[in-house]
Amino acid sequence: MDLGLQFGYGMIKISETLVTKWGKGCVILSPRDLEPDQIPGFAKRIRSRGGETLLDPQFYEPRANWPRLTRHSYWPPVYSTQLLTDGVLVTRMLRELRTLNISAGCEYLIVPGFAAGTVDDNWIGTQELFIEHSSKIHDPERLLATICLSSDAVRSENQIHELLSTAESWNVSGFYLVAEHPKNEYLVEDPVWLTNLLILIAGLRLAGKRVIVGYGSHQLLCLATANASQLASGNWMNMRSFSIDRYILPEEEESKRKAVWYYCPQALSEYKPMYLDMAQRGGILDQLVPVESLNGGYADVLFSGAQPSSTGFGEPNTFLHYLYALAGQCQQARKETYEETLRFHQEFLDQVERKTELFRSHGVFGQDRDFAQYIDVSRAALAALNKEVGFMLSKNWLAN
Amino acid sequence: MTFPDAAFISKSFPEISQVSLLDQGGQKIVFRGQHSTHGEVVLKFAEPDIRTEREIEAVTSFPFTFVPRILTSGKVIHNGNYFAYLIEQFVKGESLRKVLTARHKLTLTESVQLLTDLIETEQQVETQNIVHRDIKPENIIAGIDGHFWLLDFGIARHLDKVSLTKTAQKFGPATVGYAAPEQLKNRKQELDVRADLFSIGLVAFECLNGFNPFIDGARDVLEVLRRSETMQIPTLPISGDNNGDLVGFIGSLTAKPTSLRPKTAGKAMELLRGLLPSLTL
Repeated sequence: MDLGLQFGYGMIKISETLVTKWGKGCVILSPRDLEPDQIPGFAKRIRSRGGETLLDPQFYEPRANWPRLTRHSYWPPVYSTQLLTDGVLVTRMLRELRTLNISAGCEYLIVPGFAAGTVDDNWIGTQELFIEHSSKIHDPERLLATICLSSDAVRSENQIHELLSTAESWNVSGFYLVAEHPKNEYLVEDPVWLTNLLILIAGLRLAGKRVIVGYGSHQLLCLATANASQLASGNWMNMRSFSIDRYILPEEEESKRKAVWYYCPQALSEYKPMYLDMAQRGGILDQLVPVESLNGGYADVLFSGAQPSSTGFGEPNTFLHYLYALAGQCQQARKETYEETLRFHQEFLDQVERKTELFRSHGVFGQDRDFAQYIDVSRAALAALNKEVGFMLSKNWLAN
Repeated sequence: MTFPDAAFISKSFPEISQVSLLDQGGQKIVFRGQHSTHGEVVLKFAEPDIRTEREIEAVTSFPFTFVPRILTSGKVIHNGNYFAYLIEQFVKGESLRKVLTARHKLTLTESVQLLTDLIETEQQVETQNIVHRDIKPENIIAGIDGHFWLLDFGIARHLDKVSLTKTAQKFGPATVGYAAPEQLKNRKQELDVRADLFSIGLVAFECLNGFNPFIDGARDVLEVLRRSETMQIPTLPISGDNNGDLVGFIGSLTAKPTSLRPKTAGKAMELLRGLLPSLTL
């Protein structure tokens, strides 16, 4: 499984830095956060560093009134339901979107899709409308359909089944899947949500489609057991968990939220520097150092011997470290077979449990980002996945 | 409308003797008899509607290995009413329903044979672009030859022909308790061989465990419907299924979304053959 970089506020430098370091990497461009004239130049810089780009059309809520988003030429000047009935309007929109994709050098075109409050005939109809018109102007083998689901839709087993039964016949090569987190949680505590997400991905992959999951976090590393192709994540929390509100409500002042967190990959938990002070005081700070393959050096200062909270560790290093470590974990998350992959994740969760217990026993807490309370969510979801689809995944473990 | 009887058969089909009633339903009557050329045969009479024509067309479209051959067919008039008739090969054995009623379960070896025979039949059915749509123990004969024979293509769907069921109809033709969710919901655009694979999985589950999980203990037909559309079959260990692969395979056949089932009967057969070495038969 690959890591994609979910573009958002503050991601220009981070994307360029990481793609330069890796010599590759996929950046999912966000028209909400990029001016129309910024996109071609930024995309070109990414490509010149060996990376690639996708463009998320973010048409989740067609009545969104974000100025930067609606300034893009593909955005309809006035939304009306006529868009759904007038083939000329849809085609015009998709042609503009295609032109923007071409200017950004995107190899695949992400087909717009509305957020589904409920997966029903109306929503499926709009999906098929966009896909049908897109496939007339772009090679279907180079199309990824957006599937944007509300948390209620993800929680509904029936709706997921309905979606799976329908989506396998859509004339696209893959999907860009965006799933709203329940209750705007950063880390999800609902095993049904995670189970259904796994089943959905597994079903789409078994149908031979590529699946890119947007707006994810380290909690979704387990999606590798469903053979997800790519997990995209970003810097701020709202790049790691999707909320439709972000496209409707006034802009959050992301840059004003200054809390700094250190991501400890082996514990799947994030800690504020003052808790790293506690680790230092308890003599276990070295237990929080990432293994070499996950260490890009961006957080080395925390382990230099100085009191962690006094080192000035902050942006962008906190994000660079998170994304570098997560990229390494994504690479490790998928194995040659389904059985190996499942075993790896089960054992990894056991390791995370031991680590977080050790840390907590020394007063090192991740507060609401401490993964200890989410381990069973992942375990439950993996058990359900294995019961329901394990056999088929085991026999149909497709390459990315 | 009165169906033809033994006396009528003796008169109209002198080549058939020793006629005895096998089964009678609302729309058809089935006799067994001794044919002067073909030996034991089954003689069916039904209203001459397009479904009967399609059944004949389905069965005669291919020399299926485990589907009784139709020897001849046509129309007769009885008491002023037209009836379609067909004379087909008689398969010696018992209805799987009778076997299950008497023995509760099949052995693992028999169940694997059932899966093999039915999936092989589906491979052949698939080549004709047909979906049987009514696979259930009542429509399967456990032959004395050790094989399992599939009967009754009466509601088979010819995927390349105009559907006989109205699209707006809420429920498609099916036997509740064995039919796949997409079939029950009359989602014709999703209907393919995977609907039959679903039913085969359910029959195999019943043969191995002695009960149909959608029917067993259900209050009424609506609960059977609800279970068929929402409930996963239980994961029950089977003695001799050393890695749990057979349980996994049957689970995949009965997955609710079609995309979680094997894509084709050929793929299902490949998966079945692949797991056989892990079984102690």
